[in-house]
Amino acid sequence: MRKEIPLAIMLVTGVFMAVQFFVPHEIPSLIYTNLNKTVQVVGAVALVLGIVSILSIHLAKIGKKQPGFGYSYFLIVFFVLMASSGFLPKSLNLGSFLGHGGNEEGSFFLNMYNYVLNPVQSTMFALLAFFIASAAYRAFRARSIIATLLLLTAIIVMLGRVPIGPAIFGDWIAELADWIMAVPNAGAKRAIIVGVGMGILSLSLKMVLGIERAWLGGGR
Amino acid sequence: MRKLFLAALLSTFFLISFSFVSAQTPPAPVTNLTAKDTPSDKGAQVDLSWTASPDEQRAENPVIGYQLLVALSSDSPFVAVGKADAGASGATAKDGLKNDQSYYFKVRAYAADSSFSESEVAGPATPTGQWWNTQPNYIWIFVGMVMLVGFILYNIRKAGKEELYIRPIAGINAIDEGIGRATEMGKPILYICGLGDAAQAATIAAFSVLGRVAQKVAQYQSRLIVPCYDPIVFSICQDVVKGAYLNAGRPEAYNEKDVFFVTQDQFPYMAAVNGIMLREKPATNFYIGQFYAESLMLAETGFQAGSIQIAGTDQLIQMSFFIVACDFTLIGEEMYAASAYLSKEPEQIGSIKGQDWGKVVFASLSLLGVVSALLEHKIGFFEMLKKVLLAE
Amino acid sequence: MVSLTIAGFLTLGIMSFVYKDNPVYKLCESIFIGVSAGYYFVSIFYQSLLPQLTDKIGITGELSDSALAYYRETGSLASPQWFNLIAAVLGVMMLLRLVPKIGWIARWPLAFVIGSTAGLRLIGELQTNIMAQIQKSILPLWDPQYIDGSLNMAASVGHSLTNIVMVAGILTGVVYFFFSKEHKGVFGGTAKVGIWFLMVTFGAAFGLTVMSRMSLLIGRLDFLLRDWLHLLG
Repeated sequence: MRKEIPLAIMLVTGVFMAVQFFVPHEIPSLIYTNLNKTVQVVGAVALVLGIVSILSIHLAKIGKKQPGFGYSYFLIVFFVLMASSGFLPKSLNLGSFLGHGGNEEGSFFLNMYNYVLNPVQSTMFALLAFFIASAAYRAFRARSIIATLLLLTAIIVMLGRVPIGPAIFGDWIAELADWIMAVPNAGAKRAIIVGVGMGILSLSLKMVLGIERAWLGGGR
Repeated sequence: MRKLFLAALLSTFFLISFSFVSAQTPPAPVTNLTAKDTPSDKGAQVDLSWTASPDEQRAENPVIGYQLLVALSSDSPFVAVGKADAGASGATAKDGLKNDQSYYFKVRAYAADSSFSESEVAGPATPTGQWWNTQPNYIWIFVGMVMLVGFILYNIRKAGKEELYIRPIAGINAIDEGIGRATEMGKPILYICGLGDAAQAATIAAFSVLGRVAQKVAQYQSRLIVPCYDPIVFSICQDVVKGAYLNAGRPEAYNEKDVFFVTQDQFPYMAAVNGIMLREKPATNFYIGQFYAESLMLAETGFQAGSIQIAGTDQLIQMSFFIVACDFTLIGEEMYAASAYLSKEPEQIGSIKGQDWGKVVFASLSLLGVVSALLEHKIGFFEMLKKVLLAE
Repeated sequence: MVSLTIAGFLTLGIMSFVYKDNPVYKLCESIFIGVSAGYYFVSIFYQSLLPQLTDKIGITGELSDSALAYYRETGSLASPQWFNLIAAVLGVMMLLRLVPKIGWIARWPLAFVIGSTAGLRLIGELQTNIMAQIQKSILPLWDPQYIDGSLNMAASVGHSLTNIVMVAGILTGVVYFFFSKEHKGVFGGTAKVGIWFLMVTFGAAFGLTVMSRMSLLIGRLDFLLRDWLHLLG
């Protein structure tokens, strides 16, 4: 029963959602448009499970004094600070530097977002530039025809899309880059899309019919 | 002389009167108004069609638009329920209409000076919701779905009776090698299910592969670390890994702390996984699922940590990063086929065959369409075929 | 200024990762993860949980007046408020995962979520990724171009070659993804051409993204040097 009922739910909801596409009547439409709310609520509740997981792991690390447990203190402290600050009453004033309660402009919660979360996220995004250079450097060791093809195309598109390319090589490189993007790139992209579409369709069908049960755990 | 002056005065008067009367003449009404329930909809809508007013094109005070009017009977007051621009010969009335209620309609043609004229009453029309969409596009989609589902189901059934061949894929063969390498080196295996949520196909594919990988890891007595981005994915991964250890006959070896939730934010998650890679130094990294900008950084950090990396995603840009940075990459559909390859279950292999049949149909229809486009002006059959394929 | 210093310190701490893993990076990472987890905890509570549940059905769990009014008017129970009640029940089932003995109940809401999206995908993929691609791949292999009523051979050949390359890319790419036949002989040759087209696609995607990532780095350096340290004018 522990697997049969979820599989039955999967079958019913899967078939319903597939068939409702063809049924313009109001009732299936209503169920479909309200389904998102259910998914959102389940996802939000699942976050609680996730938070319990983080806290239990780091508390266990601190309790057993495992290597790096000091950093776990910071993680938990900042989590508690951030989570609790969002629920503080707006009237509570923590000073001009920290801000007030609530989660609006000038609040401690939003200040933490603006001065901690936001800059670090932007920095991590920017770090991608270093890593892309590192990856490109490794890719320069092209050892096969297909790797060479990938590398050459990347160089042409890179140079064709910035002013320095045409300045050094002439306008043809920009035109070639545009042609590559518009023609061979578009063609092969469609092949990938079709393949992925077939794969997803097959996987979805297997899930609805209960053939694919990996998500249930325990295999067959 | 006096008579001449009087005649001129009278003519001028008539001319002025005539032009004044012309400016105030309301536009001619629309004709042939019909009202029908909108087909293939959820109801509460009626399609109106008419022959446009001939005064749309007149030089003075032309028709600038139409107003749709509705009433519950032909002699009760009509109220406005919609508008249409000049040039339209049809519109859908929907505001305030209810299903299974009869309505009567009129269309009012109006000019810039607010003069108007109304058509004859059309109706009764009763909006109702339909239970099946009969538009050609929907019929084609239904036919396509039945066909593809039929292909897959037929081949799943066939696979149960005879062995079906599928070609080897390098990335999938490398999975076993990667797990073996980790066992020999005594280092853990890191498995990343991507940043998609549990309902996304790529993540479901990741669960399938995770189950197979976890079972092998349990058999080889290695360690598997699964940091999760989405909380629902985390719940499912716990079940998948625990179940795999059960299937391998080693439930006691399952460590629930090795499958954990990190955070539901892209870059903090990336920072945490990078930290795990550099500290735990896994022998093999798996990146299977839906990835975004963090894919390259994860792969590069994994390279720095000295790990063998096997990736699979259906995101085009991330595929290119994985191809450059990882040792093996499952491109697009190969990721979805991986589960079948690893399990070798007949139903799974049969489904791949069904997908291949679908691709044959796709290629055939495309070729047929290309030939039709080439010959459409030469042979009428191909012109018709092209119209059908392009839904013109 | 203090806030900018904190932001600058964290920025440099994260950037130090490029050199190697170090205590400063570990500290910044822990703070980052803690703040992020807390932020999403609060955001999801206020943006998802609270409006979906309490505003609609009330904290006591009774139907709101609008749901009852909807039922009286239409005789239908298919009101949005009922879905929120179902959502609340499924949410509680998810939470039961924390109780080991009855944790298996959490599979029911998961089945609901995954099943419904699987059903949607069945049609969605067919419509957007398969049928739409058939339509886009129908291109004339001979595409004559006329200027002032007369055939322009150069333009015609150019357009036609473009269409031929496009169609070849699609068909050979599909052949590459064919799993039922070994890549040998003519079939193997076609699949090889397919992988060449795929590599061109990946190279183009790689090249395109490189430049956009570089511009992000320039943005961060600008923040450090101009906004924080005032080294740039």
